[in-house]
Amino acid sequence: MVRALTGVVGVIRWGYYNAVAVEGYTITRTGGTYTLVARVVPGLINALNLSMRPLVFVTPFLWEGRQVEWTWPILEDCTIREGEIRVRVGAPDAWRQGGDDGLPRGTAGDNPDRARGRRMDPH
Amino acid sequence: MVLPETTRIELEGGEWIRIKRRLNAGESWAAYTRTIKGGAIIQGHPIERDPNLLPTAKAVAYLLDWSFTDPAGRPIAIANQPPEVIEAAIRSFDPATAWEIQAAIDRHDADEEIAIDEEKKRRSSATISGPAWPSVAT
Repeated sequence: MVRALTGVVGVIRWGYYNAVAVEGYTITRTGGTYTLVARVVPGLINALNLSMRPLVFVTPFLWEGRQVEWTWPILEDCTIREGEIRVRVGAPDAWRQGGDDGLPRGTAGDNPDRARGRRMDPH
Repeated sequence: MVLPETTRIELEGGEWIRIKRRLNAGESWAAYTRTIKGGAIIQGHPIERDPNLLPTAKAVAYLLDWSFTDPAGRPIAIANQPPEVIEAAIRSFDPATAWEIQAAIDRHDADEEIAIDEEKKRRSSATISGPAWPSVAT
């Protein structure tokens, strides 16, 4: 069964650095696999940051009246083709701004799948 | 290359700030530029720094997030906000709180500089000289 989540605003980050801003995205889940298809904002691309690892896809949303970010670890090389990124991502993680935990900490080699804040499944 | 590493500093009263561990060159230059009067260097004009901007420039460059809330208990969001928003937020605090944030960041900055210096010293002392090649001069 295929399930999809669509949204407008998102960003691909390396640590706290933005790599690509996104306007319009879909994340589909087939079995245990998530695939992100996102349209990038031309001019808001940092190729250097995009070449770094690990990358995460971040989407903001409101949850219980608070600004929350979902972070999806990007699991493979990120290339832009015809203004679009299509990439496999891991299960999402969430954190609350101004909450107890925040942006990925430690080195860029941190495990992006480690628990940060409250884990939620959008499906 | 400076990795996007972060560190959390505990402040008095249970508050905390999350900051960049180190600034990269671009962030350092941006912090310096933010202290220039008018925000731009104009050819032929001396560079004048705005003393009103000096206290916050470094803090703005370093800060990523914090635990501070407004009087209604809502988080004062600075994560992923432009520098102007972070600066305005710092300026909205009472002087003691703003000072505590700046002092914590200054201490961290000084500690990191010492760590970088020590790292350089370690590297240079660990360097083994390569073989001396014979001169090709005749």
